[in-house]
Amino acid sequence: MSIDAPSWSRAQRRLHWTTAALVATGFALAWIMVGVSTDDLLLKFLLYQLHKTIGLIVLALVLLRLLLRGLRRRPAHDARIPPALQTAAAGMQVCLYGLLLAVPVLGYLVAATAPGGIPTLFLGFLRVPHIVGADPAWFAALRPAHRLAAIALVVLASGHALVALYHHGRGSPVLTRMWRRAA
Amino acid sequence: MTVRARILPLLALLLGGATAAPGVLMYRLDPATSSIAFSVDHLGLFTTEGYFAHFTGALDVDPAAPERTKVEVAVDADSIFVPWPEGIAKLRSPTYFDTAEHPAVRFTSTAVTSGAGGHYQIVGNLEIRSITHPLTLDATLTGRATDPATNVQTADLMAVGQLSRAAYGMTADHIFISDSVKLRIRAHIALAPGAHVD
Repeated sequence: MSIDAPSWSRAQRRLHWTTAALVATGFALAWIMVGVSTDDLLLKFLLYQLHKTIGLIVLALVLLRLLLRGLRRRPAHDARIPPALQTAAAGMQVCLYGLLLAVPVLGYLVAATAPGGIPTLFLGFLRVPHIVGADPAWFAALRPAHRLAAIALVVLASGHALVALYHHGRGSPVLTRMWRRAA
Repeated sequence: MTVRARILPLLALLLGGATAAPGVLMYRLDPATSSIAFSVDHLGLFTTEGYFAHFTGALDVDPAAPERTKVEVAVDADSIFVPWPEGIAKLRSPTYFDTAEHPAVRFTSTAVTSGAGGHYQIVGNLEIRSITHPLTLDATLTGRATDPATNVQTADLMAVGQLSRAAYGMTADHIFISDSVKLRIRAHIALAPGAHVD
């Protein structure tokens, strides 16, 4: 699957780190917003809308990343990394892309099936249509699925980052070429 | 249930009172086919609708003098419903209906005036959390019929009104939840058994 670009394109690099930052923010926000008491209803509502906005942005960015990945491919694997690990890295990336798509989609469905009919407002004012209505049974199943998928995403992404740091420590360019254009 | 215990004697009193005025028709609100719904606005972005599941009510209608119509409704505050479990708990809590302390919401009419096109203005007093304020309902008679099975006369009414929740001490979440609460009451009323009909 490799093409011998020296590094990831600028757009790919920016999208990578933006996605990472948004996922981290959205994940932290999830725990905070759930914990906010219903006595602070306005704050709770705003935090949920921010969380939903972040999720929708992540979904759009990941679709864009997949498009760019298809168009621009990726830099060659570092030859110093054994083929088995290269395969493992590729598998990890497939999982990450899958979860990056699944978590926002599941989140959207959680919002749509949630009781109360609270709309999804992108940026706090742009109403995103819900293709399905409130449904307690689906909500009860989707909510833990969204949560579990989000935890899996963050755990895998952390592992992905730790492995990148490990290779970086051993002189591999895997991290630097995601950080800046190769010399 | 304490609310029932309070409402039933009230109704009994009301039903008993029917025979006092000859020609007065005693209608009873049928909770199975009637609804007391409300809606609030959130930041102008969306609305939440809810309703009360349990209530009792009666109307004394004097066909000869509709302005003498009396309406009396008692609502079980604890039966409040919104499509959000935490919302129900919130509405029952002391910041809203405080249903533990104030189990009943009551409406008692003081004057009924008939207008054009089957419209009626029902002026009365609404008591929530033991706070009473006047409330005007705009009612429309949407249908009248005699149930062929029981030969009981029925009428369908639709009443709308609006109130300020702050007036009843419910000031929490004042940015997120509008002060104005819209009421929508659909009433299917049946002539009460034993009521006096001339």
